[in-house]
Amino acid sequence: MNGISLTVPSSLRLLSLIRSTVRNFLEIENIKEKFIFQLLSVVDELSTNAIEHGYKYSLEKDLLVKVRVNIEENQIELEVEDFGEGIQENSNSKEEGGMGLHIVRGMVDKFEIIKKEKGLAIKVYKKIEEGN
Amino acid sequence: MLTNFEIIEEEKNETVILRVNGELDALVAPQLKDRLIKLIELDKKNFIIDFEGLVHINSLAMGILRGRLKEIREKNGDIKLINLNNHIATIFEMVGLDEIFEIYDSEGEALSKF
Repeated sequence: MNGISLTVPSSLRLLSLIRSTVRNFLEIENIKEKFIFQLLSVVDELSTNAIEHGYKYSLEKDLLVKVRVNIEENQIELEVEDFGEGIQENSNSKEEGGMGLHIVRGMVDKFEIIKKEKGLAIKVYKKIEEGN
Repeated sequence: MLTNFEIIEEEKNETVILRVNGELDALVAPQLKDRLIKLIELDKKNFIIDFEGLVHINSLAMGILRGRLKEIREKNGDIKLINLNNHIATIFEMVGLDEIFEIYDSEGEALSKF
């Protein structure tokens, strides 16, 4: 299994860092560009949800978002975890209207919400093909 | 690290064309919202948003577009979208926004529909 793990402070300013790190890893692993775009949308939506719903946009230093990506055989496992109030599946921000998780569900093969003592993890699985 | 993002504005035949380039995530989506709100305050009501240079869009940005579309249509204006790449077009279809927005392949085609 090949994988990366990235833990960053909860900040919208770091979304681009999360996306670029995940993109670099998937490119190194020779994942098809079509899947890379989809997985970048998935990690971006899940990370944004963690920052918005898990931490309510708080910028306190010790609030962390953890992203893990693993490739096993022809499947990618991607997990985004927060340690705050967690993502409420039915909670909507004012304008976004719950589209984020709908997009994630549409792009993956399996979707799991793991409720923890503190915070939530959302883990998704997507079957992929390597190469372009 | 800052998001790679810019909005280039142009006006043709009383239609404002916003070329949105780069990555439209939750950090920069409010810039698009603010720009649209300011233009609406200036009584602009016809918009084309060109996504040719857009490589990523977050659902927050789509929610903003949906909200402004409603407001602009109430003023008898419209927001038409052009040049969506396959990935972004798929996301719009997933959330049904392809049925709400008029989406065209070219600027000329969109301009002719106002």
